[in-house]
Amino acid sequence: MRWMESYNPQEMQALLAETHYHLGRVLCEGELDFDRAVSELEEAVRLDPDNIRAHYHLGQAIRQQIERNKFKRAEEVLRIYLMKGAPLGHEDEVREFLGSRKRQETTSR
Amino acid sequence: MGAAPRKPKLPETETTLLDEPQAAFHGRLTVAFIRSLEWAEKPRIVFDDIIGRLRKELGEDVHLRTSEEALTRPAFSSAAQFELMQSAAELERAPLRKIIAVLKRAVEQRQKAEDYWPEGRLNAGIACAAAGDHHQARQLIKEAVDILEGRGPLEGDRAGGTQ
Repeated sequence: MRWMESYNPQEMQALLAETHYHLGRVLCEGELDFDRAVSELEEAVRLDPDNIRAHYHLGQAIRQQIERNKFKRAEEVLRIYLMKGAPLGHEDEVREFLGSRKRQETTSR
Repeated sequence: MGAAPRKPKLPETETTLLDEPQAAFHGRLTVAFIRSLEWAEKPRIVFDDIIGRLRKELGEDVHLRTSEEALTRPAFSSAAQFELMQSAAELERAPLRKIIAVLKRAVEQRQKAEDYWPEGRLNAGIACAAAGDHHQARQLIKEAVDILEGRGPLEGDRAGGTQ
């Protein structure tokens, strides 16, 4: 493990914090896995509380995570509403919402 | 937390344009033109968009003998504009691709000597992310985390992260 010889313990911790930060950022910006992005960025902030960039991206990742999860839940319950015959009406509006979510999912993939 | 990972070293440019004023002007003109495409951010670029960007980039007066009406005409057909945009984006990414290749080669070489070098993987991952390849970036940086946390790089290597 020759790479280890060029770091002291502080540098090693800084590198680990930076690595978690970049992994979190890639997972978030690439829209690959928001849950994992949040945990990576939480770890980056824990290891280096002075990393302001990590705070910013953690905030963004949490926002995205919540948005995704809430939209997913909204889709689930609205699908049930349609399946049950949409007794309150607004069928077109609901279908339009579900269609737009599907399009968004496809483009972000 | 002082020590940040070292940034990948950018390759030196092959020619020094400033040695030749005419070439330097053409080089700046080309860069300005490419930037005008990137900054246009609309479906049809008109001549005025390009001239505006050239003026901004060159910091000089760009004089034109043309009518106002001509400036509002689309500069390219839709297909040509699309191709130009793609080529401009590719040109921007070309130096990054070189950096990624060099870093990945260095990581592989050190690994042959059982030196797993997480910083090299991190830097290669950062470069991949900058080039828009988030999947490869995730693979490389994940390997770096595993190495730093003592889990070893073998799983990642088998998955082809540094291949």
